[in-house]
Amino acid sequence: LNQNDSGSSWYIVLGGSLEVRLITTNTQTTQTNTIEKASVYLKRYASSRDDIFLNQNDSGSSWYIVLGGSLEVRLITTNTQTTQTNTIEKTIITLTYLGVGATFTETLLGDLPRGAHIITKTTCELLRIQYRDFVEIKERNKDVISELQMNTKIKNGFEPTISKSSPSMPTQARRTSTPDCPNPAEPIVESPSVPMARAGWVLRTLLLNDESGTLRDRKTSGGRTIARRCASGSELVDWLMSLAPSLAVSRQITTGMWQALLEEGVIYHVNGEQAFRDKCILYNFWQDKEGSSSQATAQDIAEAEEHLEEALLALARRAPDAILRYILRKQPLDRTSEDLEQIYEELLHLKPLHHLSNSVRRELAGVVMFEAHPRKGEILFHQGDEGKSWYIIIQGSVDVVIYGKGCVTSLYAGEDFGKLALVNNAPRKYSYVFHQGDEGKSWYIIIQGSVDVVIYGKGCVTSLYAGEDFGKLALVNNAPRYKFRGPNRFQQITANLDVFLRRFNEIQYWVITEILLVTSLNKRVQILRKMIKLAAYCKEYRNINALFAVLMGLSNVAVSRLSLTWDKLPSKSKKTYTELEALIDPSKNHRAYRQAVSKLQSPVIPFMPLLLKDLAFTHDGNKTVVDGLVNFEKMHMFAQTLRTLRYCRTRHLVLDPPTPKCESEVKSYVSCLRAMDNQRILTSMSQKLEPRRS
Amino acid sequence: MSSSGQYSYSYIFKYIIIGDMGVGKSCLLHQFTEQKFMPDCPHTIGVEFGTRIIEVHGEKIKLQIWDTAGQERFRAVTRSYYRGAAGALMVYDITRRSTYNHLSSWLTDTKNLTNPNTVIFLIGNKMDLEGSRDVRYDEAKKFAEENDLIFVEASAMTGENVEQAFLETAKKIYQNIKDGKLNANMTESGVQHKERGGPASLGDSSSSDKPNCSC
Repeated sequence: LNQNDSGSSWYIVLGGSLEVRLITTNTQTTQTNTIEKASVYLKRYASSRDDIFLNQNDSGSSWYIVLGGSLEVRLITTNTQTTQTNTIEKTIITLTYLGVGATFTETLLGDLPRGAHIITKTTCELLRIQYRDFVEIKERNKDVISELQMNTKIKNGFEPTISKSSPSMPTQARRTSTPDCPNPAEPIVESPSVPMARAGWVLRTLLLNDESGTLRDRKTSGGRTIARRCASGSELVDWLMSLAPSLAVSRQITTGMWQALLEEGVIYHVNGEQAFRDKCILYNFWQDKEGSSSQATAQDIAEAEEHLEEALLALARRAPDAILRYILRKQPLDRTSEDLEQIYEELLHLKPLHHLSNSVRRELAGVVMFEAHPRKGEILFHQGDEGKSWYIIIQGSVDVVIYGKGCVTSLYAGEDFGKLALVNNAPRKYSYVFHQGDEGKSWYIIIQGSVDVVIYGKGCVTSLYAGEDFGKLALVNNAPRYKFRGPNRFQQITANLDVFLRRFNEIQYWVITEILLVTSLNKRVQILRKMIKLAAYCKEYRNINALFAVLMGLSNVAVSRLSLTWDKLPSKSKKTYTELEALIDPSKNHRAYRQAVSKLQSPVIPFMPLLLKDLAFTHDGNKTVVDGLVNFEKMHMFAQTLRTLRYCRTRHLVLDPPTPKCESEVKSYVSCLRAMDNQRILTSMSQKLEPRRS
Repeated sequence: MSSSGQYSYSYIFKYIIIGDMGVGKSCLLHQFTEQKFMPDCPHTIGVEFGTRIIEVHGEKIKLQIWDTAGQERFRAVTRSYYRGAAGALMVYDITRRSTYNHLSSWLTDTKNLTNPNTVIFLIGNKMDLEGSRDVRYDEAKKFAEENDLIFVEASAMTGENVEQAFLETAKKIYQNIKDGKLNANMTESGVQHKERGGPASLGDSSSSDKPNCSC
């Protein structure tokens, strides 16, 4: 698994079986080589279910698609400049995996074509925000956005690789496009899940046996047809409530319980038009819809009674989510203020929206739509399609298929932060925002309050640092502030701090990723050595925050378990590491660190998480007002902590670093570290490198 | 037992307290440590306020509680606290479902990074806010049972069940020692046995640990 000089490589981890189809559109020799090479790997891959690793040669013109199977795919490009140095005209495929909490689509700031296909991988539940709605919200918050554009120099680390590749667009049938108005009566899954089917069976059995005759054949509202064994919504709710007085659930929740059944296709509105409502609307069970006429036997009834409690519990558990989904599937105009409040509450918990201001979130609450894609392999949109919506995955996962390498890198980065995704590869309207007028691919800009500005999506955040140290982040925010967490405001964070935090995590995962990407033991030892050296440099330059990030990367279990690698490490490096590692020991309230740092001269970049912890403790542990008097000692403690921070910045950094041969390359590499942050994947890579000894 | 005042104890148990931001971890801790400890303490406490001596079956045990408050977003940082914890208090907020939903990821970390005998105690905090309850008791109870956790709902505000959570955990750990499941001489166990009058020997703590009051 060596990397060739062009330095671009894909590493694909898979789980499960795959069906791989190779489509080639060009027969040039070099490319044929590539394909042959790839084919070899692919075969091996398919048979052994092992890793696949494709070297990207000078050019490539093949397009691969994974058609079936469940898989996890990770992409890594280790050289940001690849696209520039290579003359890639055609496409590479890329598959990736997006998990819960991811968002994709991007082009909301300009109307741009899609940069990738998005294909559902498993049953998916998505939130969709339509373009036109988004634009409206954007308009209303224009001031902040334009301010952002003026003040922020966003350099995008990716190259303009706008699909010159379109000729090789696959002739793949487009199966589904996103319906603009999802029918709330449609089930959201292909077939009912086991617990729901069971719960449905239990309720139906008991209903059939019920003396009240709730479930009976009735005329539909038109009077022309007869619906078999149906009951009205309010009757069903009454019945269920009377059945389970012990559960003591509200009418609303009970309605939600029925809606949970409807969502999974266990019950249906007789005409398939309505979601479950506590009204005089008729519903029947799917068995009856299909005309089953079986009567419940005594044995069935006994069994049903036995499982009743379990069924009710399962339903009650799903009810709140079902209600929410029901609201989300309502047309925006039909939503009541309580509905909006509920959506808003829910949006608070969605990670991709964390940095939105409350007012923007409130507006979003009015427009987000829920949609479900029961089948896998459904294509939500194609590369090149117009970007109309922004999606948030609530559940399930989607594959993203992209042409063009530039995209691959960006996708990769965000994806690893789990919330990525803007998969677009198109030129931006607001190109003046971007450094050098590059075609940009930055995704989503989010505003918090009137001053705080957070760029959402990893690509953008990285570009914030573009070759600069963290102090310059003030580009976005003139007034760095740290707000104390409190019950009402704990979601509010400041932009600088957030970016700084991401950087910490990014460095740490970059260290892990780099080490795990090297398959040769000797080379891995070398890179480990280099990382330790890097840590030592961080210490020398008093960047303690970065030092901790590197050390925590090295002490991550995926790296620390590589005993073969550590064993071969020169003893000098080992010693350095042991000394440095002592610093991150949290014992006695990080005494080792505190002592070390107290001896350092300014400027210092302190280990920020600890400062936050000190502030949080001081705040949580002490009352602000005691007997009507301000607790001055507490204020004093705050001041003390902040003074420490201030001291760190009392002097400017005077450095005379050597000028590297290719400074711009180094800069752009550093500004845009590629890293994986999925611990599970990292651990499994680690285990492949050095299998556990039994 | 030695009778040299409140600073003598025969065991030290290390606890960690984890959970999402804003669930009230340090408030719980504060409630527990302040309640009886140094009652005449004035209004401020230092950044490290996590110890208290309790009694289980007649033995004095010093609980050393490591809180990760303020650092939740640095998952890797909080991970460094896990090593050698004998007990883990995993906290969520009953009025915010998201904090409950994240439990599984906290649990994964805990199981991966602590030893198999670490006692994990699930606490649903803010039970005083019944009106805005978002997570039902029975569902959390079920989650706890499925994952072999001890569970209680508590309120750092009123103090209800807080004491119980810390004590129950200690009892369980103590029981594990008596059953021979935990070796009090192993660093990784998170437990250390202190010979009568002798200084604690573990790297993580020392007999010089002061009461947690900066005043």
